[in-house]
Amino acid sequence: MGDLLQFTLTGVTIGSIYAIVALGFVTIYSVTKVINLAQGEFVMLGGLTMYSLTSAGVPYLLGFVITIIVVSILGWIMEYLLIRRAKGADPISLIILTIGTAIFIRGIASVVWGKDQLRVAPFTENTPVNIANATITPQAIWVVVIMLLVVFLLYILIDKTMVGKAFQASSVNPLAARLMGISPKRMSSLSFTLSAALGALAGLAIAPIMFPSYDMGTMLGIKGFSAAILGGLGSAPGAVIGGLLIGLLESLGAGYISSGMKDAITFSAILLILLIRPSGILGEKSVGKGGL
Amino acid sequence: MRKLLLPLLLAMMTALFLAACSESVEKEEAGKAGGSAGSGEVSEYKIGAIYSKTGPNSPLGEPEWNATKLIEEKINSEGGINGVPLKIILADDESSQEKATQEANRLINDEKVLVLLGSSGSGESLAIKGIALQQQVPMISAAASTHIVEPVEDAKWVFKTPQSDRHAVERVYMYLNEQGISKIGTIIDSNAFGSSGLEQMEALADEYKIEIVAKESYNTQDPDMSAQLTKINGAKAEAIVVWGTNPGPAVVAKNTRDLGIDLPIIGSHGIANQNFITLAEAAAEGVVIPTGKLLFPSQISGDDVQFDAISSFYKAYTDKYSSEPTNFGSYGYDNIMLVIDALKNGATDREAIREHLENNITNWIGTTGVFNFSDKDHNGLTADSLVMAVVKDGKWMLLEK
Repeated sequence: MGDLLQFTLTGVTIGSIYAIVALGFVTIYSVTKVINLAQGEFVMLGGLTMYSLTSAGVPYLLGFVITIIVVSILGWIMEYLLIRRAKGADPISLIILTIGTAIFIRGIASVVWGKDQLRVAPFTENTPVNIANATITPQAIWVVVIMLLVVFLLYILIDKTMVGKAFQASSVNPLAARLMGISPKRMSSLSFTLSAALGALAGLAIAPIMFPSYDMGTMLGIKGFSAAILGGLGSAPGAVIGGLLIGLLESLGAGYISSGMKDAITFSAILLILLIRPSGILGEKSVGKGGL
Repeated sequence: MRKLLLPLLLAMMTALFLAACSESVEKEEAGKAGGSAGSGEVSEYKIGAIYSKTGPNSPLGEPEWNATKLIEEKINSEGGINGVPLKIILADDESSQEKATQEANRLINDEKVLVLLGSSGSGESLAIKGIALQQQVPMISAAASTHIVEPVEDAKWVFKTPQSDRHAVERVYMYLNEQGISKIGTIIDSNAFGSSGLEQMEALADEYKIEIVAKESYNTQDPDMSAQLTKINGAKAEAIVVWGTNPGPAVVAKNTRDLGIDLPIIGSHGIANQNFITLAEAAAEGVVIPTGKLLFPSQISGDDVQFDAISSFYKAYTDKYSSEPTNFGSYGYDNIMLVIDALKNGATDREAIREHLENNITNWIGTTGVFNFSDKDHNGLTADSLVMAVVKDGKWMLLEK
């Protein structure tokens, strides 16, 4: 019984990490229909920038804010220099562009921060919390809290504000949106900046758990992308469900069946779910309609 | 356009023909090089060394590179070997197998080196092993994998100085026997390093009366290993053996302590570096690993047969470079010193050097260990050349018996 609880808590920890990365994918996809495969690199940049700032003696909270701003600017630059220039290209070409960007960012990061893993201090005192013989670290709780907060804020932003309406409009029909006085270009720019900020936030939350290094983005990108697909691309709550499901499958699979098989178990399950629901758990059937 | 085509074709064919010609000439010369070097009229001894000075293996290759340069300068300032200067041609394979192959061909065919040293990584070493065998050039590798020198029948010209993972596992099992621990849970990285470690642990378990009660694995980048550790703890293991390189073992150590499991943690030689302690912080305390003695040269006692070799190398290295030689520096040092030993004893052509390495290296004291090469063993070390280290107050310390 204690084991089951431990496996679940571990699964939730891992799952929240995947989910928080997946949210970045969802934000860009729901506006531009582009899957940004450099999302994992934003996460990496978040973690490593924080490392540089804290080791340079910048106070934790200030470092936190600066990191998010720096990475957001990088996201904006990426959209401005690459995606905007290639406007009119079909989404597949744009996706390939993002792969190139990812490789580029990884290369630069390996020069700037080296190839070793680095250590970032946790948000708060990290004495594990004991719940009925199972433990979870406060940093893992932070990841869960931040993830839930992000989903909530995204919901408010998309469904309750003018900007959100403009997001949805650009996604559904860019031409009509332009006729209504919305600039799909600005919305695309905004979505990249926003998802870079989300990536940075994810990196900040994960860094104390994972020992960030220049190549962490690849694995997180794949897992985050899988979570987004499983939940239904374009759906923020779906990304959370997808992430948590993958985390739990991995943890329970490792715990009860075999840790060597955990990836096979997880991805078989994902395949099975997608066979039954091709558009993902919360995905909508009609592809033409946007929305988070 | 069409007019251009014919001359172009002609030019290409000429180029190809010339290339084919020069290749055959080179081969003839290469054949001679081995013999003529022995005739005593040589002006210098040419040694080729390929190490990974850049790329992912640079933490290995750099100290090896430095140690080799250090010895070349030292020997030549002392007047060379029996009056003949030593010339070492260093090549960087950039941690890539293709580059290693290119450099090996260049060193053997163009530079006509007597011996090939390197490379740093197992993959690169295996890539150039075939060239050394085919061209009949003695090669001494600085990489870990057992497969470089085994089976010995297929490694006639190839030797290596670092301990194999088999030695590391043996040393860990010896330690476990001393501690009276017989049930272990293993958690390994799913990459080549980890799975090769597990292979050896399984193969040697019976001999040392060790029972592996749980076998778990993880992927290098996994954020959390609590599930696997909970399972190991549930399987009534008396110790956790983690086989991997950073960051995995650091995550394992942290998760184990966070879960409140107080089983002893034993790592591999893959984490014999300060970064493991930096990452795992307090959780690293008490972690035990097998390692070469160069991890803490100052802690080696004066009675140790290797004391002189280690301390003089360590002093020379740190005087010249501002970094630590680490265990990898000791591989680079032993590689070149073995060749020098052969040259000093009159083995000055490729065949004679190979013969000397195989037959005359007995109780040869290096910085990595005491070597005994034979026609059955081209690694020449035993598990005794490794010592156990423990993390104490944020530092690796020699674990006294």
